[in-house]
Amino acid sequence: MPVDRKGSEVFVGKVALRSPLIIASGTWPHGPEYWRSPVTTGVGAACTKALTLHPRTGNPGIRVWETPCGLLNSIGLQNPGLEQFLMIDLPSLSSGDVEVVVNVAMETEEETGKVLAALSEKQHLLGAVELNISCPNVDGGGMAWGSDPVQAARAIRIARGNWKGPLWAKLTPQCGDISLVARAAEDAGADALVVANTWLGMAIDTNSGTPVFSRKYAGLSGPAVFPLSLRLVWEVSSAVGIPVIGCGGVSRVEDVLSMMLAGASAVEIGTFHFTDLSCFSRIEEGFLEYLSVKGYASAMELIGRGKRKVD
Amino acid sequence: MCTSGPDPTGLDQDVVLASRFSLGEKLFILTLETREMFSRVQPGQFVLLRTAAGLDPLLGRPFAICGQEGNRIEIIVAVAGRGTRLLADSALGVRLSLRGPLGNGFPESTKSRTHCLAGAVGIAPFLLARQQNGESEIHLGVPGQDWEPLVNWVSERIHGLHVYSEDGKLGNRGNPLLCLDGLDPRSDVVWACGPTGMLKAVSAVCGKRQIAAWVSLETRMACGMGGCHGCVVQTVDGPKKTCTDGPVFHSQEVLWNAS
Repeated sequence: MPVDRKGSEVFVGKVALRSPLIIASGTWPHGPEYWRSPVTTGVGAACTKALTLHPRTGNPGIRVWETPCGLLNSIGLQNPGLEQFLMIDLPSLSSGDVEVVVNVAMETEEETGKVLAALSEKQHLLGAVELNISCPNVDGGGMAWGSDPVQAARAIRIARGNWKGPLWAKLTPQCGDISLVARAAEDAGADALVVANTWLGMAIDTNSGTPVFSRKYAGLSGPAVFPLSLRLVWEVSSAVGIPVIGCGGVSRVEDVLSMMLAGASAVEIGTFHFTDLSCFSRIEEGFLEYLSVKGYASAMELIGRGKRKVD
Repeated sequence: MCTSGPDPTGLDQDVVLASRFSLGEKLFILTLETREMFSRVQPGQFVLLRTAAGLDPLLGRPFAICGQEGNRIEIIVAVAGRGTRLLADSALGVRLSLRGPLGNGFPESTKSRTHCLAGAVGIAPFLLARQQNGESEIHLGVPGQDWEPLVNWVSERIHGLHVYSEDGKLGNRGNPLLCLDGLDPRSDVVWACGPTGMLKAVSAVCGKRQIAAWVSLETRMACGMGGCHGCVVQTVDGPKKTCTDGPVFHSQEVLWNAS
């Protein structure tokens, strides 16, 4: 029997998503067949790979390294740059059936301003912009923007000045007090916060006796980080009034439910779909079953409900 | 706009481990029964395989397909770590998670003779090539006598196999590159699969002699579908993804000294 998927609709601010499941940035191919049914069944939105003004070739050397239940990566924002993205990628992605969220890597004020101004011309094709102030794998910009409240606010103001549509800020766990960064981003005009990007880690090749990655440190994702991300979602959603999108280690319907009960309006899945493309459809079905069994009329009722008896 | 590819939903499926043939403590031939029958696999195409239960190991391991019959495929598993050990030791009848077939195989050639150069388990795509077309000359190089079980197993399937070993105890002394001396650039094409050092050497010789050569590369890989950019190789046209642009590349396209 076909599944009635209507009950899983959520709103992230003004952005309506048919499902709370979002494909995380940097993990999904840009081929048009990946942005339409049937592979997008259960997917509410998909984030593009990080976009920069100019093409980036990414980092040299080893880029991925498996860890217990996790994955370290040091890709380095490889992307074709704004011009090709607008000409080739965006028309294909937006011809599909999921909301397109363009992940824009925060670079200099001028570069990011140009990217967002150009995207503004195509706003009708986009669900939202996800401002990446959290990439751990590049010099100059990236995570540095999200590591303290002052810089984060500055980045959001730059973006807000050039992009009038829905603006999500993707935060980094690598900051002193993420609540302070979250509040600064909210005050500067972010419409939602994605919590969070990868966790800075490292690996050493015991054969060579040297660090695996050319940049020494790399971003950890995958099921190993889920409890860490969940704690951040709880903390940030307690600190701000704007929607929070959970991200980090989600692999099961229980993880999605936990993120939403902790305060997330939607949940991103990245590394796990490397092992199972049907995870979105399967998790959404489990999600709908949970809502039905627990007597929730809509997915929105779940958001932050875990806090009612605790805070 | 980008060209649309085939529907990706069929890429993932559970398969059943139908048989295992041991060629030593660290070398196994696994036969996998697929639920969805693959279309004709090109030599050089591969699958990502992982144990279906649990999240550790998280990622599939890449294996070139070495045989295809009905809804069964064969792979050669060389145990290199915990992930491959778990796969090799899996009980018969157990379900494994498979993503594939992936990548682009060796291209059909208009040249009259194809010479396949394999380093040890790099023989896998050429077993499939021979299964599909008996025309090619196949050269297998191994480090030494320890590899005799593999050589014997391959010899049963590939008549006229040319064998090389560094110590000369199996076949000719040396390595498969020896065959390049006798090739004619006008009529011969080379396919190679094996350790990077061997592929680099093949590229150098074939470049010098203007022999068309294609090499199958192996890199660390995560998604296998072109999403993560974790498996890039540097080429004259910029970084390319081993999983979807390759794993087979023209040897002169690869920047062998780039990191």
